Amino acid sequence: MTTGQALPLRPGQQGPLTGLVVLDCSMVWAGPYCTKLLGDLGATIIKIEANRQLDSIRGSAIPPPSSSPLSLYAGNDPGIDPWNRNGYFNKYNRNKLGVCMNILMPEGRAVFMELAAIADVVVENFGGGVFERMGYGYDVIRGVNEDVIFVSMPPSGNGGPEAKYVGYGVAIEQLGGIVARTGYLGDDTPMKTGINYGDPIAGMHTASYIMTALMHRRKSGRGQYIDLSQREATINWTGESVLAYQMTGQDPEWIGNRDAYMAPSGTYRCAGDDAWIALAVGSDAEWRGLCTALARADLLTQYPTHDLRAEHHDAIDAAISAWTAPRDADEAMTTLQQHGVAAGVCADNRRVVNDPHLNARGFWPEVQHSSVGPHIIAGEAWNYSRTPAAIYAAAPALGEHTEYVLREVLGKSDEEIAGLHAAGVIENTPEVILEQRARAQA
Amino acid sequence: MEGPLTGTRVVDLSQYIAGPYCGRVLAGFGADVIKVEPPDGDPVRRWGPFTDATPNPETGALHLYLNQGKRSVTLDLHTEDGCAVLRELLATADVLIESDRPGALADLGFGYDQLKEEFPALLYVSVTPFGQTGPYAQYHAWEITTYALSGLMYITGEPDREPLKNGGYLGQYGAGQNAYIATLAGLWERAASGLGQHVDVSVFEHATSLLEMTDMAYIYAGQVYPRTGNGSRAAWGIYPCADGFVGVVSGPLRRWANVATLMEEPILSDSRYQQANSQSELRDEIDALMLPWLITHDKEEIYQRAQALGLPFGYVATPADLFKNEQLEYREFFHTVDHPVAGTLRYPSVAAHFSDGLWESHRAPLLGEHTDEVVESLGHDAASRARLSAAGAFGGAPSDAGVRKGGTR
Repeated sequence: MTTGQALPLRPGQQGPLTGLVVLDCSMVWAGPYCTKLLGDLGATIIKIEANRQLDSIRGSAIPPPSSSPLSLYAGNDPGIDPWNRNGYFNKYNRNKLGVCMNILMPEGRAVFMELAAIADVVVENFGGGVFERMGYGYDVIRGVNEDVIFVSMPPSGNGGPEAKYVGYGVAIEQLGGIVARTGYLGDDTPMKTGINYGDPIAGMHTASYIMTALMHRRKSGRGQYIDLSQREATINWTGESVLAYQMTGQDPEWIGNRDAYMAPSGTYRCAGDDAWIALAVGSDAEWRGLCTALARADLLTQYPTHDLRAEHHDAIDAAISAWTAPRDADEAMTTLQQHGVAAGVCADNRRVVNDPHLNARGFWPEVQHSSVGPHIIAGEAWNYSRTPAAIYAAAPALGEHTEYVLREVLGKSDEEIAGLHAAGVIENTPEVILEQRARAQA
Repeated sequence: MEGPLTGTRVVDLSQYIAGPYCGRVLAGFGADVIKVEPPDGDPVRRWGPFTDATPNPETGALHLYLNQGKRSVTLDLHTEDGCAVLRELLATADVLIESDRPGALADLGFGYDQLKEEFPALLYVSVTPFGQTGPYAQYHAWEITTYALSGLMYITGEPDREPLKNGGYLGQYGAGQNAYIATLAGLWERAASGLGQHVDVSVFEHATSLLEMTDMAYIYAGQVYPRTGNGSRAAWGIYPCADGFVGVVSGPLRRWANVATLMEEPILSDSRYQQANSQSELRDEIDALMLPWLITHDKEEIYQRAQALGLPFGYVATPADLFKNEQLEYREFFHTVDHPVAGTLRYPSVAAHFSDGLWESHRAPLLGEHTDEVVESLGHDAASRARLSAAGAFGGAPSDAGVRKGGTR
């Protein structure tokens, strides 16, 4: 059983899940997305990393000179510790404690099992069966923590003919039915999403199911093995299309930015480089608002019903574009919203970071990173009135909290910690860097 | 079956997609979710497609999926009696989910600040496009609006064409999923403190939080991130095949030789091509070597054969494909559910197997199907229910009650 309540909270750590302890053995995006959500709600997340194989979103320990045209390193500078300065990693691992430890060595295994014994939740996202072959299956963890909630999240679930299949988010969004619904009107090829959507969908489902299992444990006293399928999670977000197919026998159609129940619906060019506004009209009242904003009473008379608007969509699009083309996208949004039209700027990442609404709501809090310094970071979709959650700490540098966790969580002495160092179990520098230094000295 | 949320009562006033999806998951795990609808129903009931190609408030695909496992009560909140019944219902509730324009429920006496004294343990969950505060709070939004503002749309589609919205309602579903997590975290905390609170969930903020790392590209390096269509990396992306489209994902590098094996094209194993794998150089050359094999093979076969070689391929699955996949069949992911009007359909269920088996799939309710039994359970005998009905509490009020305003989702 957990001793989570006894764990010290870090400065600023707060929210509805304080006291919960999650042992996080996941990497890249889907698993860390899940534990990010729980950590942002106040849970203590202990992320286990290895210096032999870095989490791939830390980037290479020694990055090639032009690895990416869009640098994610702070200030475009990999610095002397590029693995600590990658924005991708630093986004998804804030609020987590970072422990760098070799859990395949016997002494490392012993420490890991001590942590497993006090965790409420253990999360892993290795390929099907890999964590178990490392000696850490559900049964092993349960041996030291009977009511643990253990999560495994391979692409298509454990068991079955595809249990060992490998998958990246880019393929999961295809297998889960999202891509088949996305494409420009009239095109002959579907379009991928702008992100690898399968990963965060899997992460959100996993966090949902962990919370469910915790509520179950509270009632029943029993832990749980959760065997998540990333593909199934993605299908759940397009569930109505599965029913629609059974009703119509039709595959999904690509309709671009149009809409089956709203007309007009689309994206319209505004003044400036690659500037656009999106809007959809879902009712006659909104249509009246749009025609008023455009000063086009003639359109209101001509197309009073949804069916007429859908039929004459091209003509209406032309009228909207004529109005938006000379206008600033933000000013157009303000005007249209004043008339009750659901219009929004197609924001690029710069506008999103500067968005007045997000900033007014405190969506971009600042954290202090040990290598990068202060930087802002995206918040979460929720706000609690009585137990506000917080983003209080930047992502850990590799192994930043190894000693803290050994000392404050497991009560290890300086002597014991020195012993683990000497044995090579804990080491906060990537192995390839150590080897490079050794070669330079030789 | 006793589910993890059995004994938890949820009053679900939310409409359209995000809030109702949260309610669907709560119901699947055992909560008693009472969907309170205006007399003419949640407007999502008017969105198709419908089972027999005829609009019917009971047979729309979104309604059937999103309202699975709930009970339906119709209340006209423009009548005093309708409001009185809602207040009685809230006295029995652990959670309220709502999706109205901020302030709209307060106009009816059901704002959070108005309820917290009387119902201190109530978890009041609002799921709205922009949240309860801030300059856009009163803005109107549909899926495309918040998707555009979040930055997700700008990075979807071809660089020389307009930004593209993803098909479906991913922003709404995601906000609903976040609302579920937030609701359970609120209930978890409540079990210790005995107190409810207001949880303010925003679709816009959810969608923004999904920018994979493009927000960091600006924050860390001042980079404005463009759209790149289906990408420019060689052997990495969507390709045509005999019966649709496959996802060629040729990483990791050490497996490149397997791509040549799979496609029965030895020239591909040339080290020049291996180096180009997943970079943009030589893309056209590599495409020309892959396409002859791809367009003569079916997607499921390509997927299975690639995976057997350790390659993380996928394919662009249509709903028809999902029903043919053996893995989904093995895991019994689709549940067959009967509905008295819509008939028998196969529904997506829950995306995990639980060692304790926690999920059950049930059908969506008919509009107002449970009004009588729920109101009776609140202590109203037949005479009282008849009086409420005559007064228009459940709809059909003599005066023009109108549709509840707001309609944000």
